[in-house]
Amino acid sequence: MKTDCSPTPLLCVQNLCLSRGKKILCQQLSMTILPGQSVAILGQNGSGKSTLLHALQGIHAIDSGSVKLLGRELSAWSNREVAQHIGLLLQHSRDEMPSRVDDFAMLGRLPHSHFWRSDSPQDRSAVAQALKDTDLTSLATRDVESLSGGERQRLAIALILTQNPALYLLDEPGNHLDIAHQIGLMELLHHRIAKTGKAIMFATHDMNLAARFADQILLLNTDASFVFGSRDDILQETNLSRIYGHPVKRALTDTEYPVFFPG
Amino acid sequence: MKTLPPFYSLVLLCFALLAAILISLFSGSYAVPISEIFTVLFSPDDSVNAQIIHDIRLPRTLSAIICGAMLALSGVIMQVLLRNPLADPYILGVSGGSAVGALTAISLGASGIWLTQSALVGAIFSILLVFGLATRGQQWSSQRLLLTGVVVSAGWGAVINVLLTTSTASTVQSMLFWLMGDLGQSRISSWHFPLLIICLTILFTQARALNTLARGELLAKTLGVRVKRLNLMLFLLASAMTATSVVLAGSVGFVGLIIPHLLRLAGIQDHRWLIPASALLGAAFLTLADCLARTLLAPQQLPVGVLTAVIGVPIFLFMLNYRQEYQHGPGDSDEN
Repeated sequence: MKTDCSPTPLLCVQNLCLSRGKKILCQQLSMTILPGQSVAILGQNGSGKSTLLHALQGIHAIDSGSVKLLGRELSAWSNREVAQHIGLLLQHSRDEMPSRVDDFAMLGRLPHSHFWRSDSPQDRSAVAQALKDTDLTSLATRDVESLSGGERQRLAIALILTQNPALYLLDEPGNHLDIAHQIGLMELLHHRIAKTGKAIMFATHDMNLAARFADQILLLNTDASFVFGSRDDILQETNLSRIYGHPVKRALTDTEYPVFFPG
Repeated sequence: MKTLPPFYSLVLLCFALLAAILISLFSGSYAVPISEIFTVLFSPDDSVNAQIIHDIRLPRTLSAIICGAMLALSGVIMQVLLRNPLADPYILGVSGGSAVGALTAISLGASGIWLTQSALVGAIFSILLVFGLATRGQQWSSQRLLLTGVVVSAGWGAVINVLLTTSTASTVQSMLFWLMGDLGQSRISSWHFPLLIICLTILFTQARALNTLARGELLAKTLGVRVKRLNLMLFLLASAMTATSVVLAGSVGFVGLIIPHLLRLAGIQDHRWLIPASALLGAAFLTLADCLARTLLAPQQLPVGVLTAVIGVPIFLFMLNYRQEYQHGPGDSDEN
């Protein structure tokens, strides 16, 4: 599949090959992400969703192919510049050391700060806004350890909101979240990218979250092949049944987006 | 629990250190009046008072400051590098290697410069050994570094036991003093303070990166931190400071473990504040502990390492309980 990299998309992936250990996860993957787009990655466990997101943020080495951020090879950007443009919501966070909730959210400002300057009023207001958006304002002075799983996930999202990248890579953003926060936060991000010409790419196991919030879908098969295209082309009973190895049915609803359930 | 704004904590710690220095200069078996201390400190003459201050008490106080600050800083670094709250400056075997060097020198009848030189050689050997084994052929991982360090430490422990059991009674006592940490023999050099300042400056420029590294390497990477380089730098800085301190005063325990935690419990978790605060509190703490070590049973001297534990354990346990009530007390139990 040929991918055209002009006009300059936010991210352009060409012939990307990826592996983890000895396992090949992606073969000749090509896709582009344009400003304002929302891309969902679906696939079985171990199909390489997380690894792909890590590679697109430059923290997992690629085997071959190219990843271009704003028309320039990702490897040509400094780590700091990449972090200014691309944020990655990780699936796991580790909490061995104590930290206050607001201090944690402040970490997202790192790519935009210098060691000789203290936190600017903009940094502080970004943190305050992110905590407000994620309903964590009342927990701001609590220790991270005392948070529940869902609150931690919201805090991780607050961190990427303070980082304020042009491309949000989200690894299972709905993890541990109740439905109100799941939909609320995805809507928030959706509005944000639509308004400011940013983009989202998220990996998920929730077909309906993908159907509702993505306009492009990337299906990753366990045999390293992939399918990429617009939501309505890709999200079909046959495609989904094949990649999950389990029958998937479409429900008859009057929503603007298709709704699926496992058969 | 109300926590003090970090800036005021830092000012408070500066005063604490100054007070500790004064107490240290004042305390000893020979009484030097306070007014005299200031006079001879800034304009030394040939009097006995001046000799006591300049030849005995001042060098010892300065050694305590250097060791205390370096151990506390090195503790902060190790805890972040290994992301393990139990880590202390000695966890990777620097003190063990150094001790084997020093004890070998003692058992051969060496003292003074030979003792410090062989302690230094032991420390450097141990640092290189752990680093070489932990990074050999594989990617750096803090887990592997920790395991390698702990095992090498255990190895040194065995060698130390062999040296202790095969030595004569007279040498065993000086060995024990060395093992427990003692500032009586330490000789401060002109490069010690510059080294401390350099380490502090480097750490301060990396303070934000340390904040992210404490939350995990992967998160630090996503935020643009060059983790590999930072890890290596932290390992080298912590090793250099630990080795310097161990060579100066033997393995003074507890400072590197509890000082960072005390400050974290007191609410200073941001490394931009934690780093200078640790250096100040570590210096003040060891200076005071050393005062007690030489006055408590005077004229007999106690190893300062005993005092750091005797003072540190109760303070630490108190802070830990106090903090726990705050975090999980009534009205705060609505988790999940």
